[in-house]
Amino acid sequence: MGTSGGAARRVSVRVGPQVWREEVERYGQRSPARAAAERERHRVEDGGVALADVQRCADDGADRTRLAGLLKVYVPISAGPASERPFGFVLSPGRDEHGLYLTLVAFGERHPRQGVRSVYERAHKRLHGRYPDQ
Amino acid sequence: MARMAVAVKKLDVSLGDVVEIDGRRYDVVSDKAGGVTLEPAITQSVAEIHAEHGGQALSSEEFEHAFGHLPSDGEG
Repeated sequence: MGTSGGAARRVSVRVGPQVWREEVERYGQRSPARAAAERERHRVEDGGVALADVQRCADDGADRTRLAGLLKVYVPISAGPASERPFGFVLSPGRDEHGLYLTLVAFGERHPRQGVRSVYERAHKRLHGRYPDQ
Repeated sequence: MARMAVAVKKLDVSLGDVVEIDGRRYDVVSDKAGGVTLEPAITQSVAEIHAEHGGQALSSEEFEHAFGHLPSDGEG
């Protein structure tokens, strides 16, 4: 599936096994973060994600992350306020012979406690090879 | 207070190394205080993730064409 047209355009989502291990399975089996990611993985792999639920990441974030070219979806995916969706998927758009797709590059807390990397810092490291403060 | 009997295992690692403990991988990173600390490892780049799927990331022009209209809240 690539993108489909109309007001509810959707784009397919792919999740690689290694990135899933590194991003989601670092959380405990019963953690709210892991439960939320696993629930949404089934939804987005089956039906893609609606572009209405997707935002562009910041080119130059206040946290010094530089995520130009990446997209994000707040988790749980819903129409509720962002304050009720504490986690995020960061996705990288790509293309292959089947068309456009999004692939998971980071998952985690949007505003973690001090000392824990945010989902944006983890995405920055995958994109640039180091954390923004290194 | 009695001293704890702890067997110290010395690791020969440097910043940027990846270590595996009990089946889980960790990056060796700076603790910003002159020492090092461990964080859950990130071992695959964005480009490598796309290659795993047989594709490649969009160019900046392709990105703007396909997704430039989407909002951004500036959070990250």
